[in-house]
Amino acid sequence: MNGANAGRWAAVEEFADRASDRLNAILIRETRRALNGKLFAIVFSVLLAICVGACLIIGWSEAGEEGLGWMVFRVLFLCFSGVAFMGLPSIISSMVQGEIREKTFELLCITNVTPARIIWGELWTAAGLFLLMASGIAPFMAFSYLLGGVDVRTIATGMGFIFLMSILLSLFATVAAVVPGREIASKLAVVLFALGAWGAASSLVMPSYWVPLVDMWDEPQTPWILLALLGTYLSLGGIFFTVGMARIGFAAANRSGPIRLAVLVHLAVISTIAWFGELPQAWATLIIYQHSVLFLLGMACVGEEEELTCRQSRKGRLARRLGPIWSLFLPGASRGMAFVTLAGIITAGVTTLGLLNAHAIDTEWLAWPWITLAYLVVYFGASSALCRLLPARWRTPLLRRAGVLLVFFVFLMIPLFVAVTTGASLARNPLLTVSHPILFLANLWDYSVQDWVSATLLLVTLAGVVFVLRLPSFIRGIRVGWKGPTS
Amino acid sequence: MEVDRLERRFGDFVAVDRISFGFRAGDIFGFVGPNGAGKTTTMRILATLDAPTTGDARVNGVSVVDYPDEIRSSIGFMPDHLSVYTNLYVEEYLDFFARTYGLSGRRRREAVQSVMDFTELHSLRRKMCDTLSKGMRQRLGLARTLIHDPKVLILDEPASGLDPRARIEFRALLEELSRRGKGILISSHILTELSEICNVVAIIERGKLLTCGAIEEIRKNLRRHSVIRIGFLDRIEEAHKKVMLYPGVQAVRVAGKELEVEFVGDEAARAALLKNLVQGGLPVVQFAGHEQNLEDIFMEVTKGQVQ
Repeated sequence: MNGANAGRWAAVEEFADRASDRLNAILIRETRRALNGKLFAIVFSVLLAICVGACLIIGWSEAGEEGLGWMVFRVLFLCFSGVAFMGLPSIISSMVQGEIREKTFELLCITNVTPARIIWGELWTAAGLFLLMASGIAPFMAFSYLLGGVDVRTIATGMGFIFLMSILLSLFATVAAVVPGREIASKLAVVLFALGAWGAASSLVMPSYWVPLVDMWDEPQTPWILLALLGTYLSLGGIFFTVGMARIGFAAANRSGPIRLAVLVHLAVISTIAWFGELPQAWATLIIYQHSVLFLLGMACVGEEEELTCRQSRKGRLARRLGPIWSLFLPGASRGMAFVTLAGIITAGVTTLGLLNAHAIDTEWLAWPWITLAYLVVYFGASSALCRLLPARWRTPLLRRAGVLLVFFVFLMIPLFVAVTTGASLARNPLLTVSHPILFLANLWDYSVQDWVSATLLLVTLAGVVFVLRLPSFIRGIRVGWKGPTS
Repeated sequence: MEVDRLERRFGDFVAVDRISFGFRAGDIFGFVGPNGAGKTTTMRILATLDAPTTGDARVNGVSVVDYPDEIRSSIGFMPDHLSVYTNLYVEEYLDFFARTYGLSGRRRREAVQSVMDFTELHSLRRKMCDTLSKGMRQRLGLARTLIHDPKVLILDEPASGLDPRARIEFRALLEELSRRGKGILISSHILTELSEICNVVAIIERGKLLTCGAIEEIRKNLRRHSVIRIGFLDRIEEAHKKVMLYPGVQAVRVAGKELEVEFVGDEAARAALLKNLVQGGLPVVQFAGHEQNLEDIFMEVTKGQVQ
């Protein structure tokens, strides 16, 4: 290399170094580690090999009605989504787990990097690695476009869906990785929470599989549905993010604010969708309604704090001066419970009005006892799971939680009951973990007297057991929730 | 750094029980105690990795409880385990931590170069962190601790597992840091080593602070008499009787042809004792004072209780 070239190269290096100061430090570190290590190279090579293989095989076959490009695109879409949904979160998860194993998280926690920046760093890394992999698959996507049968908008939408889902799954992988692996109960909690989250996230996966199958842009509701999905996506991301922060921060303050903010976003989405007329079989409302169960019960677990540091107490005193509405967003005795109660009332009202407004009439009736049972299980199961994932400092004591959760459950049943009386049908989304068993149970329901009696007996017995075991907690919880914000 | 009635409870278990101590810039403060005494818990609180149940600690008057974010730039913490990243070069590792402390541009590059020079890691800059030897990893850990030029260093068992050479080199680095005005809090099980480099020590057991101060001061407080070893050619029985009757002698033990004498008195009194023995015709072949070292103090102060 001559002197001029060396000078230019040094200038480029200097520029890159200065530019990197603006980036998240975790992103830089993880990208370096990924490029220095073998795992990313293996995933990338496998992806390229699959793409080449798929293109060669399809190249030998005859084009169908949709065109050869369409077939190539669908195969590429499937391969890439598989790698992005599984490979990328695995890489992120292994990096985070390695950090826990080597106890390097502690070293990070004494620097100026906050838990939020650590998670942002992991997400930026996921995004960066996604772009690297997308750049590898881009020539094949261009090849499918040149073959004909698929337009740029469909390719861009498909890649967008994969990107968002990949980031969300990477976020979940980060959260799951920071849960202590030694405790079996914690592992179980991760699985339970993942199942609940999958119920919500699957509605995002579903459209991503639709993209290559239908031209969704012809549907008039598409922008609204995309908006609803984005809101749901952000809410779910908010929950994961907050749980991750809680796990990573050692002596961190209770930051239930992001979860409460996620709930507000979620309520806004429900309101938007609920007032949108002629919903096809009310699926959007019901899916989002189903998600609201997950979010709101999740939020109930992080409303209260067992011990406050001097600084948090000072903030609490400041917030109380600002008034009861502001203080709802801060940790402290009863405020989280009051927030849950208020959010429950609003959700119940908006969803009921939405169901009435949406004219989602069908002949298929909902089998309410089974739905009640299913929601009861999801409701308390996911609540306990999420609570388990949180460090002790963040958990709402069970005494307070149980009663308010029960009250909130009643709020959720009201719109469902309205849905039954107006004849709304349940969304037939086979990917939804929650709706699938409900549909299975609904099909067993034949409206006989025996069915009603057995279901009612089952419910009453279950409720009786729960009440006997937790009666004082329920009473105390209801009283605390009912009293609203306190000092 | 001032630690003020620091307490940490885990349920009913009291890990740290209202301890108070302090040290200044340039001090090397030894933190000594048996396993499970609460040393690491205290250090973690001071490093803002944990919060106390009650009490506080301040660096230059700033509370570690109320302002942990502000305090982190003044503190460098080196835990007892050697944490490194896989698939990362030594230079990249230090560069990353420089970034996490908010250093940017030339300042970051200079900081990385400076700590690599100080810890003599320059030749290993393109070596993967996880392939370093224990001694080199310890140096890397110290380099990471110094990257943001903190005023206070908290080092938890930094010399454990090091070979003698690496230990001596590491000690030299600490002495140099002390000369540069850093306040160093160091815990170690190797008490002889601590006594050589620390000017102040605190002994902790079962979460309670048993004693704190300069080693000489603690020694004076603990025991007002010194131990003298006197060797004789023969006539040990006669010597024993004579020494027992001498003013200031507290106790005498016979060990072969030697007497171990616990004696209250200054150097002049010791000289007078020697003169008395020689004038009495006893064949003295050895007369040596034995000072209490940190190990003796530790054994005397602690009761060997663990929690």
